[in-house]
Amino acid sequence: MNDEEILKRLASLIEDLLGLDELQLTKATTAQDVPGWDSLAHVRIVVASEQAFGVRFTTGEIVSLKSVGDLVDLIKARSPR
Amino acid sequence: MLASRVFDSDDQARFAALTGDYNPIHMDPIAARRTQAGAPIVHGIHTTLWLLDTIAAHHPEIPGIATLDVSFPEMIYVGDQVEAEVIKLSAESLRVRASVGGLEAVRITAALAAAPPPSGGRDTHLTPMPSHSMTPRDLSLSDIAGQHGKVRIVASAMQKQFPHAARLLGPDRLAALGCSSYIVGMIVPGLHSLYVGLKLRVSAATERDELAFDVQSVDPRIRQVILGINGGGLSGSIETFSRLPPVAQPSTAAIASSVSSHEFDGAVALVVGASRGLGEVTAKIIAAGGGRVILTYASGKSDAERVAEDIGNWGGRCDLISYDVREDAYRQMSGLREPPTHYYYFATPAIARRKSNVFVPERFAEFNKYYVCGFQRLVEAGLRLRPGGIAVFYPSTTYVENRPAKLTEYAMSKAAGEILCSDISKYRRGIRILTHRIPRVSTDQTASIIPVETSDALSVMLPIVRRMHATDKTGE
Repeated sequence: MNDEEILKRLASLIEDLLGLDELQLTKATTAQDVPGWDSLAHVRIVVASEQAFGVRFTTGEIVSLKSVGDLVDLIKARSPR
Repeated sequence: MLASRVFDSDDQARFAALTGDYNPIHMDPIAARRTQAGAPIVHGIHTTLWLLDTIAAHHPEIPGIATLDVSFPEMIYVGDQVEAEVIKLSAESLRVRASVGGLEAVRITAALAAAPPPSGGRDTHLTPMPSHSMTPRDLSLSDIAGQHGKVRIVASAMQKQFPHAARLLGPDRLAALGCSSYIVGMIVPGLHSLYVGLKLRVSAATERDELAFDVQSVDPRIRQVILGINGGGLSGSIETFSRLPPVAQPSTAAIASSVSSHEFDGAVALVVGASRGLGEVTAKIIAAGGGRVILTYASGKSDAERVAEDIGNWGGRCDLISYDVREDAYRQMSGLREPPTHYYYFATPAIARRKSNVFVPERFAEFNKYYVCGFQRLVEAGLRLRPGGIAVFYPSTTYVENRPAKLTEYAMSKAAGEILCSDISKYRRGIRILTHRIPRVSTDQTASIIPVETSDALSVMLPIVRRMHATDKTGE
């Protein structure tokens, strides 16, 4: 799966969790760019992406993600090739 | 906007009596201030039912609900002005929300049913009120896995309170929703729960007036607990978190092992805000080193008494006074046995609160009452009590230089406090002020759902207390 595909699935997942319409996500997007993405929303988004992509992160990874790009890279690193 | 209202403490009590959800985060200001909320919050299900009731009253053409997806992105505090709003309404679906100050706090997405909800075959009005315990269960994360049980559903009283929502859902389902608040707040996760959302389907009403629940998953990394519920004509899942319990600071006995027994002999230290956190640890350090401490509290009397008892049991000397930094300092200190030589100022309002703008003037004014005005009053009173000289500690924050989002007013006010300290030191005689930019320390103020990296209060405060007292002896 390439970055574009991951970003698209992530966008729809985040829209769903945060109740947003048509969220534009790029790898540079950070929590501060997305309304409602606070610390609680953060863990919910990360855990929902684990389920959506069939991967699993450590607690340290969950709290240290700084941007959507970090999340995309981590998903890619963990996904079966 | 569809409707607007405030939930007050009477509303809280009424909803708690209806559902049995007496979780202290909703009911007890002193307990709630030691949680991530910082003050009592409205039951999420209460706001949900108010929203559904309001919608149903305004739109009698909506026949019923088939599925219900609710989430609680922000906490609603008791006293907040809450606004209900329809985002979208079609023949098939409904999206409504409740917001506070422009921030979405409750979001409901529902698929609408073509026909009114199927009703149960029994007379729900006759269901008696169950006898609920008013004390929530205190379960550790490892105890939570595998929990399951059944709760009796009470329909009649709920239906009276939310008659229009009862039409939309059927009285049993309305009551089952209320019951879910009781399950989460009182049974599992219980005391430290946070109700985050639910996804439910309307199913055929059952004959039995019970709501069954079971823990479907526990994610220990983020303390997320998913419950399944089934009964009263509803089935689906509830998302909750098991919050970390309030931060416990080390005992005086434990602290004494890091302190020499006569290190702080002769000091009389007034510690403002000593009922918990940095103030609690500071008081224990000074007592462990032989100093006399005066603990002050504004609202957390029982917490301050617990600290005083811990110090007393260890053999330390301490007094306890009620002190509000927003009021006359000299009058509040007039009953002291002897004038303090040292002051430690940990007075603070709740620091982390949601907000919709970068800068909210009311937040800044609130912080200034504590970090600037209250501090100045204390200093003046201290000098009046002991013109010969006092030493004062002012805790600033590393956030003055580098701060996370949403702490603009906090950092601004602490920076103002630093300037005040610097100028008092420059222009007033008989006072020495030590300021220190403290990093994020593990206290109630910084408590999060999942563990984050913080410094511990003892290792931060011990060197500071030593600096405060060491300079006395060298005559600096």
